[in-house]
Parts: sequence; C-alpha cells; structure tokens
Amino acid sequence: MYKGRIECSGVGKKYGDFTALKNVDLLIEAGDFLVLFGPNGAGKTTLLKILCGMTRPTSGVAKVGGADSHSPEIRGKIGVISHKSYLYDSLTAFENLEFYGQMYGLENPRARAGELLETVELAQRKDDMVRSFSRGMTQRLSIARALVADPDFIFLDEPFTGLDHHSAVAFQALLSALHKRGKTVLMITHDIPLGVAASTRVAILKNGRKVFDEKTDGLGGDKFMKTYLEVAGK
Amino acid sequence: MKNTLLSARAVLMKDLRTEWRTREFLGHTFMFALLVIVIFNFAFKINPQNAPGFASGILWISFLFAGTLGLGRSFLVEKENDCIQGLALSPVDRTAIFLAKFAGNLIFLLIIQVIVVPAFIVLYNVNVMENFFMQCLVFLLGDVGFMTLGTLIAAMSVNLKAREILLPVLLLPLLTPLLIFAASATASLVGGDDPSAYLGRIRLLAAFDVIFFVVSLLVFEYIMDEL
Ligand SMILES: Nc1ncnc2c1ncn2[C@@H]1O[C@H](COP(=O)(O)OP(=O)(O)OP(=O)(O)O)[C@@H](O)[C@H]1O
Ligand SMILES: [Mg+2]
Repeated sequence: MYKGRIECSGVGKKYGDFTALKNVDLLIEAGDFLVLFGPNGAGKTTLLKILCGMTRPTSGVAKVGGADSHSPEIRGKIGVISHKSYLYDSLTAFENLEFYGQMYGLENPRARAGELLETVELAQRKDDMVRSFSRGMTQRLSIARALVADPDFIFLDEPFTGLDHHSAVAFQALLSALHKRGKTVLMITHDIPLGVAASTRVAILKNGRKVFDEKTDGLGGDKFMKTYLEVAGK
Repeated sequence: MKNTLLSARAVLMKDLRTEWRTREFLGHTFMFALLVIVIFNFAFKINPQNAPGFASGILWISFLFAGTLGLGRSFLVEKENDCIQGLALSPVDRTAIFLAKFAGNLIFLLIIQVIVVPAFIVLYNVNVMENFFMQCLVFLLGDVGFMTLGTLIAAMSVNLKAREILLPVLLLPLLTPLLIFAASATASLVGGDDPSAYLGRIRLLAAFDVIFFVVSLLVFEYIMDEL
C-alpha cells in the first residue's frame, strides 16, 4: 500500500555549518511500526521534524503517503506528539481538543473531543484549564490532541516522558491498538526494551547517519541491546 | 473559502476566549493609552484655545502605542507550549490564521478607541467626533491598515529574540505614510475643514488598506512556513 508509506532518500539537514542529518535513506512501509534509537544529538528529532513538514531538508526528498512531507494535503493525515504539548494553558482540556478538531476540519469536533478524553482517561478533568494539569496529564492530553483527526501516520518523540506506570502501560496498549488498525507509526525513544517490544522495525541514528535498520522479528531485546551498544556505543 | 472563514472564526473565538480569561492585559493597555493622553496635557500646556490643533496627534499617538502593545501579544500567546507549531501542523489554511489574528487585533484596538476617545473629549473639552460618520471612517480605515501590516510584522518577529524592540522598529517606518494621512484627515475633521481637505486622504487611506491587505495575505503564507 503506497498510501501509508514513508520514503526518505538522501535526506540531509544543515543548520549553518553544522550537519545534523546526512544522506539518510529510509523506507517505512504502510503499517510498519518503526522505532528510532540513537544517542542524544543524533538527529532523531530533526528527522521527525522533516517528516511532519515542520522544517525542510537541505538536501534529498522526504515523502509521506506519496506526497512531499511539506505539502499541505498530507498535513491532516499526520499526528505528532513532541516534547512540546501544543496546548493552550488558558483553555480547558475539552476546549483544546475541540479547537484542534476545528482546525482539522472535523464534522463534529465536540463529540470527538469527548471521545478522546475518555480514551486518555481525562474525562473527569475536561473542564479544567490545562495550566492546572500535571506533566503527565498534559502529555496524555497531548496524545489525544495528536489523534484528533484519526491520522494515518503517527509520529512520536519520546512520548513516555512524564507518564506514570499506569498511563505508560495504557498508552502502550493504545499505540498497539492503533498500529493494529493499520496506522504507520514512527517513534523515537531511549527505552530499548519498550521500543523493541512495540516495534516491527528498529533503526539507529548516529551523528546524523543511519547506522542500523532491521526488522524486529527474531531480534530479541537483549540481543538488540548488545547491537545498540556496538553500533552506537562510545 | 467557506472553510477558511469557519477556521478563521474558530481561531478568533479561541483568542477572544483566552483574552477574556486573562483580561488584565486589556485593562493595562487601556490605562497606558489614557496615560499617554494625560501626559500630553501637561507636556504641551494645552488650553481650550490650542486643544483642537493637538487633538489628532495626541489621539493617533495613543492609538499607535496601544495598538502596538496588542500586536506584540497576538502571536506571543501562540508561543506558549509552541502552539503555533501545532497550528502550522494542522491542515488549516494559513489565510484563516492571518484573518483571525487581524480581526482580533482590530477588535482590540477598537475597544481601546471606544474608551479613549470619549475620555479625550471629556478631558480636553474638544469634540473630535463633530463629524461623527467621517471621523469613524477615518479611524476605521487607519486601524485596518495599521493592523494588517502590524499582524504581518508581529508574525515575522515572534520567533526573534529581540521581538519587543523589533516589532515597532520594523513596523513604524512602513506605517508612517498611512499614519500621516490618517492623522491629517482627523485634524481636518476636527478643524471643520472643507470636505475637499479630507476626502482625498480618505481615498488614499482606503488604497493603502487594500495594498497592505493583499501583500500581507500573500507574504503570510511564507512566514508561517518558517515558523
Ligand atoms: N534549530 C537548530 N539549530 C541549530 N542546531 C540544531 C537545531 N536543531 C537541532 N540542532 C542540532 O542538530 C543535532 C541533532 O539534534 P536532534 O534534536 O535531532 O537530536 P536528537 O537525536 O533528537 O537528540 P535527543 O536524543 O537529545 O533528543 C544536535 O546537535 C542539535 O544541536
Ligand atoms: Mg530529540
């Protein structure tokens, strides 16, 4: 299925003289769950930003669902969970989701908002300002925000930060359910066992280059940990 | 087109709602505009005889100061938690964001004016609204041009470190011709001049508005791209 595919060829990104990404080729098939690992500063977030159209690559092409990752028609099909929540502090949880629903042109943003608040277990706090939320609650609402338009592509940058044990388990289950429904997922995490367990493919970036990319099948967590240390190690 | 207007309305309602919840800002700006008027009273030794001559200048300077404060804020609220990125990631038409921000800024300035102008009339005992309809038109045309260009520059400067300084520094030179025409049209109306004295300026103001609006709409797309 071409529609749900992500293709990077020769993607590079320079910030001034500094090269954050160099000649990255990556093919994520529809329905893949790719987990991207790599040390701090490897360029993982930069790659994700390119794929969701937040920044342009300085060389190469990045295509999402057959379209240039920067093109307007693909925007509505991508859900992004990043370090920043993209939520308005002086709106309530419900109002935030309703607003984003409107931005994504939903028919009934209020119904969708209510539904998602149930999903992330924030229905009781729906009328509280986001300002009053704890870090983990904000993160949960941010997850709901990313899912508002039921996107085909889900991009996650260290989404487990701030979640307590219960929420982390619940979120893992939610992610795996979304993946089963055919979503293409790209996730960045530093948690190797968790990442490997969720993935269908794993890749490692180091110093802006892709240094490892394989199917997860038969690649046990322990074995991958060894590989990671070998490939990405000091 | 209909979708664009619907999205613009959603962004505007969101802004009005958050602004209402943090309404101190409107109060502070209003106090500031009033203070400008009061200070001029002392600075220029204004008396009932010379007041009409100063009226237009004082009013437009206070609009300019208050309006610039409002502009600085309009995109700053989007910076909290990087919401502007969230907006940019959504498929919403960029034009809708511009229209909403423009409308919000215009409403903000109009509210300030609705309070400041009567305060001015009472304080200085000069009826600047003698020719009510024409004066309203001049204010409105001046406001529209000011806020169109202002919204654009506010968006451009929101990511810059020195945005508080850069917004007025970039905006004022571009705005000068419009302000001159607006202020002189207001002065003519206060002075009870012949319509020939202000009709030409009103037409020029309208022309400025159209040009500013079209250019801003076109440029805004590119600005959003690099936010
Ligand atoms: N806007 C920017 N301007 C300049 N340099 C940048 C910018 N964004 C990222 N970089 C640099 O690019 C490199 C890669 O950054 P990136 O955020 O992609 O790393 P990462 O793999 O996500 O790291 P982490 O695990 O710490 O999140 C870093 O060296 C960073 O300093
Ligand atoms: Mg990162």
